Amino acid sequence: MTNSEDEKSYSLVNFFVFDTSRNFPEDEEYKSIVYYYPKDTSKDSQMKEIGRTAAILKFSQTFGTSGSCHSLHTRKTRQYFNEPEPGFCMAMVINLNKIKKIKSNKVTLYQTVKLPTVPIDNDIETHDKVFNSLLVHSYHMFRLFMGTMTSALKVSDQPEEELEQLKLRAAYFYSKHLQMMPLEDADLADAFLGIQFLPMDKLSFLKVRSLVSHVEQTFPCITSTTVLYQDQIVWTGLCQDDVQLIYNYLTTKLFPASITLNTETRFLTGPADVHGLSSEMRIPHVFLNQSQTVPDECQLIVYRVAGVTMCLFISASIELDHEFFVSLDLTLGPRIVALSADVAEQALVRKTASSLNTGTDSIRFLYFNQWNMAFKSTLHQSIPGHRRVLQCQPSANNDVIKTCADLCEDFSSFGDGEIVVKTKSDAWVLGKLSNKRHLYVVVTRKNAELVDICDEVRRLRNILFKDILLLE
Amino acid sequence: MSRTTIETTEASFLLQLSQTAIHFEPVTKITNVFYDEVTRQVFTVRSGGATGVNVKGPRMKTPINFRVEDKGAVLSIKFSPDQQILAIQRTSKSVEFQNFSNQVPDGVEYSQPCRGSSTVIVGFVWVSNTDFILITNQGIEHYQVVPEKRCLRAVKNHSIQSNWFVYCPLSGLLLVSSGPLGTSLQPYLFKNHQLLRLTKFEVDIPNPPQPARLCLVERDVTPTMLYNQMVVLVLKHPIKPNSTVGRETPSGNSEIVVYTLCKDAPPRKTHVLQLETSGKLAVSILDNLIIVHHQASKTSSIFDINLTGESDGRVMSLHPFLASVTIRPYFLNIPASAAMLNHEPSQMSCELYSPNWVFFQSNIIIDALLGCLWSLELVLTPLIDMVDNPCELFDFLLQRTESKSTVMALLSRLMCYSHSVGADVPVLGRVFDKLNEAYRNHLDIEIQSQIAMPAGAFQLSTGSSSRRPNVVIDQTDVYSRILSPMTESKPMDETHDRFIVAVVNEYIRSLVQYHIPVQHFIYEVLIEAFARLGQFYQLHQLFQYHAVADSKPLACLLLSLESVYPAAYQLAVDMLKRISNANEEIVEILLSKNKVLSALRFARDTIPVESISARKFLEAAQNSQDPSVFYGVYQYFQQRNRRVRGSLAFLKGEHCEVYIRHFKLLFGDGECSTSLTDSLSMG
Repeated sequence: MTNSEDEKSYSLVNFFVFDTSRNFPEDEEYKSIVYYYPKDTSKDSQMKEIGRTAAILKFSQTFGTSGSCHSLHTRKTRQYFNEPEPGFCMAMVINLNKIKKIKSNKVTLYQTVKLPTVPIDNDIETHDKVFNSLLVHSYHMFRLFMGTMTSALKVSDQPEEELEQLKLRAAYFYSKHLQMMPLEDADLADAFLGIQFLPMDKLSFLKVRSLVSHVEQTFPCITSTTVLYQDQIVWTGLCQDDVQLIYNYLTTKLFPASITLNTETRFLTGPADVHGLSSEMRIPHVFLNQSQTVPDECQLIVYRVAGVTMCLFISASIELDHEFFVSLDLTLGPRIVALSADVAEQALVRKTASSLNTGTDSIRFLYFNQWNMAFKSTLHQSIPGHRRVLQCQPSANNDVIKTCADLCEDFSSFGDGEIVVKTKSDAWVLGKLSNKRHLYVVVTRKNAELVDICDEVRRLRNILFKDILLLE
Repeated sequence: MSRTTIETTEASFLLQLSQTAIHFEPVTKITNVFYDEVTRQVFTVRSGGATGVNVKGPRMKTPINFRVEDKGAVLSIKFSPDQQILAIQRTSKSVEFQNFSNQVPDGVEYSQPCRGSSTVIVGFVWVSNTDFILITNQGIEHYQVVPEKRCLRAVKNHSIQSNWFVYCPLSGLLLVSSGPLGTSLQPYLFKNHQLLRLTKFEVDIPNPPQPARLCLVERDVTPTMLYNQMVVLVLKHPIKPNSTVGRETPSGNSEIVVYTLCKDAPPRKTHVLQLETSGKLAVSILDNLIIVHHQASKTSSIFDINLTGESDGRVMSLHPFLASVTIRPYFLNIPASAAMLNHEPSQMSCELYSPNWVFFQSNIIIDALLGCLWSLELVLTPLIDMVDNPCELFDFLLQRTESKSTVMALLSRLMCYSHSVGADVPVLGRVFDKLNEAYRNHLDIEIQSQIAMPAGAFQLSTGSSSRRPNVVIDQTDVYSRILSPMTESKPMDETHDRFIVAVVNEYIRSLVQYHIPVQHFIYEVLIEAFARLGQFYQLHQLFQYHAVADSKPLACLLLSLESVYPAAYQLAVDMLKRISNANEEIVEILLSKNKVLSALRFARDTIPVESISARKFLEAAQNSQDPSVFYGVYQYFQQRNRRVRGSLAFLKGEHCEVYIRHFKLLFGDGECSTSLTDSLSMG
């Protein structure tokens, strides 16, 4: 990030998962630890942390009014708790780094060089909503790729053996996941985890649907298909919870990783070379439909041609041979190429149209519809293959995004409504919740008054949201 | 042969002879039979007409019988199209005429000789009720017959060396062969009582015989109309390796060359039909199809020049769309007395493709020995079984008249087939595209005829008749005959519903592509299938992309889905918002959701302030059990009353008395209790 005025930063102190249902002998309690970061922490400290966390949760469950505790604020840290499955608990501790501390830094996660300015305590306030989401999300991603924690348990007399497999999986997954966790620049968008849909006309959309039907009919083993153009979803056959995670996986992990790939490579997952005879296959398995008693284990094949990505989900029980991929390539390739011209044109037309409409930099918005997970933001800049970047007025970045998060939390207690606030950096933020639709509009205009802001917002609504009912 | 086998094979005959044949006296020594292609009449002339002339035809209700004086052997005999004048040719020099009234000749003959002493009449043709064309070896003579004066008036004379001629009554095209080989064809077009000479064209014959002799004959040339285009079909036999060897079987296959006549350009060779056979061939034209009969194999081939073939840029080479088709066996009824006498079955099978058959344009078959005239008919239903290439089959069927039932049957066949065989989504898509292209054309014509002025309407409808599709399959057809049975019949399983979703999606895609507004019942099939599959989020995406057109019925359907898919509520109100006249409905929905203030704000912004029903809002506010809401609503309407009518009071007609009392009960008389107002204004 180019933002040199970044005044605050967070660092991960620790992150751990432990078992709460099994009884281990007094001196072997460390065996209940499923995963602990950092790895090199002494067993003693690990046990202390876990003991403390268990105690806090127990305490809050006993004396609290509304279920168990999700976060704990201390002067220097923020602690987040999550009980993803019965018998398991996970926690994450974030350090609020003050600049002074960085100089004598023991934690070595930092790469960014900070300017030595005096921080104000208030400014380094984290957002519980955002960080809690990160913790919950880390579990959801684990569950997507590894299945539930319970499913990894082995039937055994020895509680230690029962957990063995789970510990391996957790280590495998979290060692990678934590590196990618966007602690530094997490914002409201991470809490929403929305999906960006590609705006397009109905005919092109129906053509995409037609292609999907064709593929699913030709290859009946395909249980579900998701289509993206660049980083935006066009169609998905998945349920909402799954597509949210898959979309996040594709846009934050798979696509950025495949940016270096040869443009000839069509299968982002699957055979490395469909034309060659090398049998190298790399097909991730995912666990879908978690609401079912037994989730579906599927193989995820990601095929990309001319900017169009098709994600095909095939039951894990089906063995896929080389021939399958060849015929898939033959069927899909020409049709996608034909379609992509249409879609690309649409994308271009919409892009220019929307940039004309929204106009100036001084008015930006963030929109999220909880009903269909549609997310749209001009506060952020999305670059295909990269994590989105805030592109608000630099000086107002943190301020504004924090205000949005504040408003969002207010709405979660008030319900539908509209709130307008002026931030310290002289930007206006209008927050609105109407029938599960969130809209945050940021107006950074010198000497603007409330009336102007309302006019601006009304203008924006009439252009961008004329087709939907956003109640006053 | 058992009865069942007859039936099963019978089902596959694409051609049949008309059930009612026209019987006439067969040719004998004293009986001559003539057929006129213009009036489609068979003339049976007994002993030169003295013992009677009998005229029958498929277009005639009753036969005409009359006698003429025997003045020698009749060479040709033809009625004028209105049967008012009879022309008889007995010599090569002149034609005699007789006026008819009420199918009775007046007995007075008048004669018209041809021009020049060495001239020989080749033939004659009636081109209208009074226009008479005489073709001689020297030229074309056009006369106007004046029956009242019993004479003919010469209109125009085209001089041409003619070998033979053919005339197409459909288009008025007269084709005259000239030149020593007969390959030089001169077309004339009869239009508005005038005979126009068109550009001459040459039929190329490879290896013309030396010395030159006539090698293109009349029966191999057929002028006709195909898809409202004047065409000339020329049957070409394979080249004999060496003409001197004589009767050796020719190698290679025959072909038909199609010359298309354009208005302002010379006739152009446009198609070549590969007959894949040779020998004795005859051509029938039926429903814009070219049917070629092959006598030796007793089969026919069917060609459609509107189907695509291999083109070299100028000429399209076509193979038969249907080859080796046979005519359904035909049984002649034997008169009852004869059957009794011989103890034979009362029906006699009739030899098909008999050497005695003569083919006339456009679809007439005459067996001169049996004394039968049939018209050839096309039977489309057997085509349902030929689903190897559904797209081409639909192309073929959509061009036929009266093929709708076959098209529908084929379509529903494709829909059930899809589980096991063929008929995959892209094919269905292309089929729907074909249907909807015709549907679109039909709608365009409808719109045009509605816009057009009454005076111009007639011209317009005739002018655009060429585009008017034969078969229109509209959305009601598809719904009632295809989609509705699909959703009802089968035991519902997931694959079946997924297939319904795919089919309806494809159908809607095609309709949208042809800019045809989709009716809500089509969407309903899709929505219900998605609902059965539980794929509500997928349904949501469909609405998100506006792939479903907004309508009140669909908004209601969505509202009904709210209990199973809560987000449907959002979709429903969004849809109502986009429908311009549904603001009242939105207000009702918001009120039913107990969002009284939101509803009021929405009503204030969208509905004229004086027509907002105060009672409705006050009732909802009272039901909300929230005094502050009731206070706010009550105050709003009081203010409105003041603005609109200058007084805070409600009108009698608004029936708000009960709410006025409720307000007083809650907040006292007029002056509200200070504590409450304070708290409200704070909030």
